[in-house]
Order: sequence, then C-alpha cells, then structure tokens
Amino acid sequence: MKRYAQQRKLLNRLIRAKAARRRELAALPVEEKIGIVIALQRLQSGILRSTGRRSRSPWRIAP
Amino acid sequence: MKQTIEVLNQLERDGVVGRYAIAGAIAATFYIEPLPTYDLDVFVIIKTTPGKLISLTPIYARLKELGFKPHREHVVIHGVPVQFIPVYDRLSEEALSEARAVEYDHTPTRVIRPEYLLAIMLQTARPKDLVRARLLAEQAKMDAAYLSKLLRRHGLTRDWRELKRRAR
Repeated sequence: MKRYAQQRKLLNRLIRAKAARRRELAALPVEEKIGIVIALQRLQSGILRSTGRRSRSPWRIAP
Repeated sequence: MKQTIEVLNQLERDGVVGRYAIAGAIAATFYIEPLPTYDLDVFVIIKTTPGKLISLTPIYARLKELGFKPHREHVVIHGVPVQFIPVYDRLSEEALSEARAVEYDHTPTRVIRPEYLLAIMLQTARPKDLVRARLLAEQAKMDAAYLSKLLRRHGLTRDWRELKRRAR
C-alpha cells in the first residue's frame, strides 16, 4: 500500500485539478460553451468514423 | 444557434406553438460544463382543437414553409437538429411554464430551470441522465427549497436521496 502512496497523492491532485477545470467551464458564457459542444461533436464524430462506426454530423454553424 | 432560436421565437410569434423552452443537454449546458449532444431538445405546448389528436404536423408544416425539412425525429434549423417534444406529463408541463427567460447572443429565449432538469433526469433515469443529474447537483446554482418542494410534489425525493447516496 505504501508503495502507491505517492501515486495516489498525485492522482488526487489531478482529480482536484479536473474538478476545478470543470467548475471553470461551467462558469463560461453559454455562447462559449456551445462552441465547446460543437468541438466535442467534431471530436466524437472523428473518433467514431476512424473506428468504422457511424456518427451523426456535427452542427454546421457558427456557435 | 442564435438563428435557430430566432426561428423558434418566430414559431411562437406565429402561434404555431403556444410556448417553448430549451430542454435536455443544451439546457443543462446553460448551468454546467458543456455536455456532448447532437440535438437541441425543445419542450413545446402545441395548440390543439378539441377532439383532435396532438400532432407535430403544424410545426413541421410551418418549418417546411420556412425552408426547413423534417428528418426522422428532428428538423435541422440553420444547421442544428431540433427535436420538438410536446409536454407529456405534469412535471414537463410545469417545467415549461416555469422556464427562465434568458438571452443567447442577445436573442431572447427560454430555458428549463436547473431544478426541473434535475427532476426530469431523475424521472427518466437512463444512465446518462443520472450522470447529468449528478453534474447538475455539483455545478449548477439551484434553489434548494424550490428543488425540495418540486421533488416532493412529483414523488422524486427518494430517487434524489438515492442518487446523493451513490455519489458519496
């Protein structure tokens, strides 16, 4: 157990940083968040297509 | 999305829908981190004449006149697939009537309150709804007393307690 103590500390720090980042994202103006939704759609669509799976088209709009 | 909202406002002005509000993942995105989704869900009250079945046909017909064609369960309006969801029970009807007036890029619109989004997620209870409900609970600014009353009224208090217990 002691062996992984440092790794666990690091992991907890990373989890806290992620949570802080998500709070920051939540506080963005909604127009910016919609831009991120579209970026997520593009990312997801790219991954699905590259692995031979069907994907819906990302929104074709300016956010 | 601004142009899409302008069309929704036009449908309401034209009287094709009685009232509308943004729901689902995009509504949640108003309050929490951006959620991945491909649809803009819109709760609507459809005007009906007595004795006639509720139908989306008048909405689709008006959108067709405006140049937007339905595709399966949605209509792509200025690049955004919009799914119109007629209010289907007391909870969704209340959610729509209590929706908040907001602005998106200087365009007025309405969005379902976070407390109602949470209640609807608890009610539908698909795995992704429960994940989103947890995010709402963590990140959205909600009125605790309002939420508590609402959950009690719709028999969802136990589901809410269970979700909080699992999150620990």
